[in-house]
Amino acid sequence: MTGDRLDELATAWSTDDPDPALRAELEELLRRDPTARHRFLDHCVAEMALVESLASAAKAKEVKDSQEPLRISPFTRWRSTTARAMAVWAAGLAALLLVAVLLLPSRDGLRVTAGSVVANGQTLAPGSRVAVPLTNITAGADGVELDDLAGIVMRAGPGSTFAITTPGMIRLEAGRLTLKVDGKRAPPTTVETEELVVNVVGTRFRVARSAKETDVEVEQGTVRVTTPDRTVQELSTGMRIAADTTGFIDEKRRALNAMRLIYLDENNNQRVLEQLDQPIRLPADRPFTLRAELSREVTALSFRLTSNQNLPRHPRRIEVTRPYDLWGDTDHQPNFSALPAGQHRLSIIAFADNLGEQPIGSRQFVLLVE
Amino acid sequence: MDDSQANTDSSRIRVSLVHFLSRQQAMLRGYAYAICGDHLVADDAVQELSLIVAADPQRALEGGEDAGRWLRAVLRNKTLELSRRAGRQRRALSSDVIEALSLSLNDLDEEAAERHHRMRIAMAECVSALAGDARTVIEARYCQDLSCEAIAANVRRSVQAVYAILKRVRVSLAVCVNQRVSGAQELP
Repeated sequence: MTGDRLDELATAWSTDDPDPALRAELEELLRRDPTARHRFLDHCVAEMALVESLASAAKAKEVKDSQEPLRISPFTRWRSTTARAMAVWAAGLAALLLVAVLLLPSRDGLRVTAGSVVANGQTLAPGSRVAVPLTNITAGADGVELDDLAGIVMRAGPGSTFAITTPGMIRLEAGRLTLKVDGKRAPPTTVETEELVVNVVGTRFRVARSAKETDVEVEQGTVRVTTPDRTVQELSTGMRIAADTTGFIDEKRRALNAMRLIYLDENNNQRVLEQLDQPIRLPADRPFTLRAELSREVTALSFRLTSNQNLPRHPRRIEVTRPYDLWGDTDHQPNFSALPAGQHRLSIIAFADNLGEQPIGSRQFVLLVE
Repeated sequence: MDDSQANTDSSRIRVSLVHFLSRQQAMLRGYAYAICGDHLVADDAVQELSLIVAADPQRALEGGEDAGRWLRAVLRNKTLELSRRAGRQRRALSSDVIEALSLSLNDLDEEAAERHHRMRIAMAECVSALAGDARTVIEARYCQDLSCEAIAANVRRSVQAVYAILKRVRVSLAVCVNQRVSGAQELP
């Protein structure tokens, strides 16, 4: 019965304007019933699979239609000489168009317009054409200019190595790429490096990579740059930014330096701790927590307590979502614990990933429990 | 480590990543849709997640069991961000419900991911069997994003009739998918 009701509510939620009462009922059901949550997730998986299947079928039909042979009906009787003349002109125009289309180069490939390049083991000189995907491209000693014939012209610096997996998807391993993207003709264009992803819509920009650092500079237009920790920056004409594997250089370190530390206790008392460079005085044996607040999102924040006393909880905790609390939280409600009297040291380390590999900085505090 | 060893390792990581993501993809797409209730936003969010992972595949894989959680945490933030930016947060569920759904996904095992993967394949087969008005209406609703009123005007039927067709098609697709998924489960 609950399952049927859940199906009805989920279907209603998926329609144009879900009734607020039905939506509230759906949310209530999802809050209290784990089975309903699993069933709802199934519903959502099915919805997305349906959209995907229809889109794939539509695309397949488009391709099939475009491959249908052209059928030309035989001439029949003409009602007037004007109509015949118009038909002759139309036929002539169609023939011209057909010839033009046949003479146009295919859009599935690249043409070398200047310099030289070794692509998938094959050396290409100006005028050469090559099809994508190209997984291993190295620009020659004078660099190379490539035209994808679909609105993207790219220049690679001498010795630059990169790959083009599909039209518009470029991965730069090392060196420098300058792209000119015609927003009206080009496919969605992305340049990725280990440090960041650049999404482009009609612009001219440069990406350079060296020593685990990527530099993006926009000559004209706008690009959106995303680092692996999902920080996004929009760059417009004349702007430049650098990132390493931990994100945009400097911004997160600044955020960590500006971190606020808040004391909370079981009676809902809270206060912002001032003068963090001084020892933080806390009452002994009174359950409390410390909450770290950062102006920028980090992927994980690790709390580490060291002490010569026996600590009541695990001395290390990694928080991957807000609130970043010393003892963690349960359903957004902080967990509390007391510390024994004495001097303890708290380290807070920010990570660019929650797998604990990329610390972007840390801060240390002395806790004086009296 | 020499260059050839490094290349081999890099290829191995990428192959593992493709396998991992392809197994998780149906679940991730469903999760993104559950967060925002919008197919386009959910699609974009999963695309962006793929870009983030492509930028550093090793990071997603090295977490072992935590890799799934990491992917979902990134996806949740990305979906909410895109939903806000597109001004389509009207249908987004409350944050505590999203959190509860996320926790439920943590409980799901490899078998659930496999079932969702099979649902995705089954749906493609079931959709290919749709024809006539059922296909016209469902394509208009999902591919062209038309309202039921607009569909009704296009197919010259009443709005109620369009709702009825949509409901019938959804039920028949659900039955078809379930039969195929459970049929597959019975195989040795």
